[in-house]
Amino acid sequence: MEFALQYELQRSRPHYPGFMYDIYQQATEQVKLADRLGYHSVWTVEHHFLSEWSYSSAPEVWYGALSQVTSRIRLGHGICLLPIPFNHPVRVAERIAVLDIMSNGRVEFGSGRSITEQELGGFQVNPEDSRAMWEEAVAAIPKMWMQETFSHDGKFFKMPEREVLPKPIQKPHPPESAHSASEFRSRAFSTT
Amino acid sequence: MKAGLIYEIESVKPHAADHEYRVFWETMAQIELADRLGFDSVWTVEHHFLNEFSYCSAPEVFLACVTQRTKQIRVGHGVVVLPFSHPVRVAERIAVLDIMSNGRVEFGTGRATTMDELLGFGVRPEDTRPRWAEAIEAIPRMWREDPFSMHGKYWTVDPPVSVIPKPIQKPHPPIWVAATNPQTFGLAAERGLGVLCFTLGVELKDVAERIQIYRDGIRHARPVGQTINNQVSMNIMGLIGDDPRETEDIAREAVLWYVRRGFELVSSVAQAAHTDESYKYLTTAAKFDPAQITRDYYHFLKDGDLIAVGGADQALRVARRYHELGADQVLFFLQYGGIPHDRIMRSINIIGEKVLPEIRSWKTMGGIIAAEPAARTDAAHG
Repeated sequence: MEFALQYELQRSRPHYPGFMYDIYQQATEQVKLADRLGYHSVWTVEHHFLSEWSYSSAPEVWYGALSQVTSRIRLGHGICLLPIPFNHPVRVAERIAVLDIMSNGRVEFGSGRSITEQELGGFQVNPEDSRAMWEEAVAAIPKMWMQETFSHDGKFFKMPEREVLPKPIQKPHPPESAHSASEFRSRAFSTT
Repeated sequence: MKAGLIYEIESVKPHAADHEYRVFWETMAQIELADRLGFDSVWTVEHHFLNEFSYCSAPEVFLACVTQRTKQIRVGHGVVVLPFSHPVRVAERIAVLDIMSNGRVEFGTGRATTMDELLGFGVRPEDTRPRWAEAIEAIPRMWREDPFSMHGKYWTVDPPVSVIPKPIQKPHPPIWVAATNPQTFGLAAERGLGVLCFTLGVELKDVAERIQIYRDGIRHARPVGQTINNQVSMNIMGLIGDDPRETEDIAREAVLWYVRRGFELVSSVAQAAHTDESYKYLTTAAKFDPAQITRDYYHFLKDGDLIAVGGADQALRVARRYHELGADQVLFFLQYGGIPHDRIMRSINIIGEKVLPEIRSWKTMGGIIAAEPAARTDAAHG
């Protein structure tokens, strides 16, 4: 059995000036400790607008930083939101690839579709479309990594033939896991 | 005057199996050296799909890595392509990058200039400027208004939300826009934004006119943020080495490769955008046959002080010309066209030791001043 950490980057009130900075600095210190102690992985949500509940709105950036202050621990997106207004699938493929390069192949790619009204509403995603959007993107992203060129003519996005660059260094690509309210498979260390 | 580095993160063919991995880590080593030598800033582009020309498709991730391997150097987006991301996501990423860098972020913005990228993301050329205008007005508001809402042509955020976290630089990171054509210098001034000149190949007398448009305009700025970033940044493409002649032999073909490829890429927009006036300035490039970019063109660049190739004296001379034109900052562009890593490291060393101390003593006219953001009734103005 592997041990891992899971973060929302949370801070309940009362708040004070500089508390958001402290959340990030403290969580970074905690992950550095876990890395030294041999934890398998760290997982971080992507949430938007949820004051107190989660300040992790750009996990791709925090993970870039973490990749340089840790050497063994795996960096898991738990999860990355795939409906397009949150993240274009090309941009997700690119970010995961750069993070994979800069972490020397330590990325785990978890994905989902968002389950809160604030987030879906804030990005104008129709909740009824969110699963189909996730399905379309999650099928496309590994192809962007494995194929030299990629084109797509789907319901939620279309693109002519392009080289999506760079490619991840884990082959055939970083491990994937899925998480939405009803579809959760394979990983014992996800929460919410 | 300030001095930094700017990167496309290029890797020309033939490609080894690990070429992408190698170019990212070589770039990191160069930036770590620049940080130790006291360079003011490092900037990276955002480009997508441009094999050989740029592997920097996720600068938000790479710059986050840079924050942990450097201590003092500022980290700049040169630039974030605003039409390709939801503005909320941009505001969030800049804020987290600001937190993780202890307040070292420079927020450069732009709209993309190649059809490869625009078509790849399904954005029409005529929509890029209004999309940029809508986002550049909204993002600073996300940092100062909580709750935040917007009703734009391209993006709507309602009911109101808290965009979190917030950047730690107060009132917010410096905001810039990439500019090539005269019109954009005017748009930058109107909004109180710093201007990142991407004017390679433009003769200096023409650059001077554009800077004048900017300095005239910014006196009447109606800022989008809580500052007026009255600064002009100019790029200096080049290579500096111990032996000027040998350095030139290495740089010449690399410069020509870059210019040829660059013209090919941007001319696609000019050719495709028949209906869009704002890209017309690229028609000069569109008419340019890449085959004409030969040694003569190299000498046009060199003799016009549009590049700096040779010894430290060359870097100083070109930097001085740009200072005279009114630059507040120069960004050395050294990684292009397959120039080997060790040559780039040597260039950074020489510039850091012999050029930076001199440049730093030059007074500039620009700077960042506090200001009240201007009220705007039409979110998609401009």
